[in-house]
Amino acid sequence: MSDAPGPKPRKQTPRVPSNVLYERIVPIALAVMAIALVIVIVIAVIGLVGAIE
Amino acid sequence: MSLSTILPLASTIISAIFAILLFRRYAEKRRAHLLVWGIGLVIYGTGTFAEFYSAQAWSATIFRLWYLCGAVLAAAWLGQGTIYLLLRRRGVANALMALLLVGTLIAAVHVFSTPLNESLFSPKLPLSEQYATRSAQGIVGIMPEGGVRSYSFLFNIFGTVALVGGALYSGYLFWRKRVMPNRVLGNVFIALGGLSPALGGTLARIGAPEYLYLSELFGVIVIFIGFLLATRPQPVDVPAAQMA
Repeated sequence: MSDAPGPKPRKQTPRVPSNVLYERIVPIALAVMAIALVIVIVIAVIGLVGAIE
Repeated sequence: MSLSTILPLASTIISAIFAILLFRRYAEKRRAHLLVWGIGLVIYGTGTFAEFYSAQAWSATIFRLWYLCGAVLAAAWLGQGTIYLLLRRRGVANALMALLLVGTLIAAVHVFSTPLNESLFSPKLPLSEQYATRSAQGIVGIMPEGGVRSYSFLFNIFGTVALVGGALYSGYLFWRKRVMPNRVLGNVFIALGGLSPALGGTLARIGAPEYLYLSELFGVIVIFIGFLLATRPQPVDVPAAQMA
């Protein structure tokens, strides 16, 4: 019985090792793109209103 | 070959490869977002193919397909794919899908019934530089003002908010939980890639159309990289104690 299969190992979620670069750059990148998204939408809405086109 | 030929041709080839990959994944996994993204990439590639074709010759049908696919539908369909991925309430996603289908039909009818000034076409210029009539600035283009041009922004805002906003939201969630770094990076790339043609289209709308083709190529490449990063299986570091 010693070679009976043990409990199936649980699938683990990959975790991020401590990394200062990753911790700082990712939120900055996300924030910059969120601002860019807002700017693009504002310009598109202004275009809609007819102020530009 | 000019940039007006090379850039959209490259975008078309990459879109086609990306779409095939998405449809193959859909055949395996049967997830709605993969199918809708795949359709979105076919629409995106149709738009860029129309740009490539129009650098060689004029075709009213190709021009209409360019506007319908590239300027109206591509972002919306890609965004709808993200809606299916992120929204847990399938009923809401299906309702938005139904709206998009109706909108697609209306826009198609509208685009194909719009009169065009074909005599103004030049294969030497990108379509983005010659399509728009802007009477306030005294510019006469291939397409008149109004019509589908007056509401195409609705599709683009919906699509860009869903695609880019969804990627930013997912990336932030994974980053905050400190899990799945491949998905964090993948979503950063998808958001960047989604922003690129949105910015290019916005610049074209406000009178700086020369960046559109480049922004489309950059966008599809970066979204593709993001998708590959986000879906790449990641090895798990199992603690030594658990391995024993």
